[in-house]
Amino acid sequence: MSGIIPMNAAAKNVSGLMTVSRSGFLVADDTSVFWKRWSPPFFEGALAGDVLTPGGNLRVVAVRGSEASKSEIKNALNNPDSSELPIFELVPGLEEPLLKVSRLALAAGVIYLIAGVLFGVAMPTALRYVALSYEGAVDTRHLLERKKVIDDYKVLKKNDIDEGTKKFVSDMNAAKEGSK
Amino acid sequence: MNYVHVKTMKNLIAAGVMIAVGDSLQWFGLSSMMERVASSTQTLMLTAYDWSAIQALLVRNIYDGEIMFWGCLSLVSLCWAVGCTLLVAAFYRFWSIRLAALFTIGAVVSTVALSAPLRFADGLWQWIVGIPSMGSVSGRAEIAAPPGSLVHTLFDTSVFGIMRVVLSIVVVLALSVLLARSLKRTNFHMKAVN
Repeated sequence: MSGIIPMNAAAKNVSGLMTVSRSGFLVADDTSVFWKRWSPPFFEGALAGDVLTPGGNLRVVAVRGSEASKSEIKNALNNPDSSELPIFELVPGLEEPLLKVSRLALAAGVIYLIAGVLFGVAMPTALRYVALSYEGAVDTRHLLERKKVIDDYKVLKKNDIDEGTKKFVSDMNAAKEGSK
Repeated sequence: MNYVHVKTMKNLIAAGVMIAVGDSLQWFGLSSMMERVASSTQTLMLTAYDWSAIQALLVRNIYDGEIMFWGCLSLVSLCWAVGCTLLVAAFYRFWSIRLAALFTIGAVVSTVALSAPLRFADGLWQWIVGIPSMGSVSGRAEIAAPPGSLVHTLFDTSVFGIMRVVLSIVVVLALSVLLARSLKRTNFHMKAVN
């Protein structure tokens, strides 16, 4: 049951300021529409040709052209009965439980994304710098090679086999000899 | 589809992409940390002892495999996060919101499905070895204790795990319902043409 419900006498006398379409509430030519946002509590406006897509019921002031001042609009929104300006309630109509579910999912998704950024980007970086300030163990092999702390080629050129390996090889040879 | 459906779909698509990206980023962080840990251990092993040439090569190669595994995993997760975002955004911008919704379902399901073996392996490993207490490790490991236990409490066990499971199920189901409904609406459109 979507619709545009007039809220005061002025609204009942005028017509055609807005029309309901499939994509929302279309503001007619030479008309401006204003409403109050709950959070943050600022006024918002739409001009002729704009389409309003409220997620819930929305009380709006419709003005031909821009002939009303801000304080007038504010007063009209607060006291619809005593106002000269036409005030309507836009009812999106579809009682959509999925819309509520989707909003909750969006909020939870934002929290999950923030957690992902914290654990995925902030914490590894922080831990890296914590480790850097305590001990140099975060230096990788490639970094140490670039800093000339270790050198693969030097190690390879030395090419000396340690005592354990020498003993192992000689033991193997002895075992081979023994088995023959 | 009227604008309320479009709004619902937009919210759900954003939530789905956030699940996929958040999950991939957590894997990215975990694997990049593990890569650095393996790399640091390799450096310590190489510099702390006088290895012979062949032993140095052996030590290097053993750790290089581990480093490569975690490095590949971190790169893949990062590309997965960026790719999912870009593809959904492209579908939404250049094709249609319904294709974007379809792809979001695909992204969420495949993120869960592809990370399942890793999660299973991780869970199995923890079940086998038990959860190590950082305090029992002597020396400078104490420095890592607070973040380690925090990660374990939040990331691995309850809060975000349950959140991820519930969120992905809700998003996939709700998007499927919306997509099925949006298919039904085409009859209405054809009637209007006649």
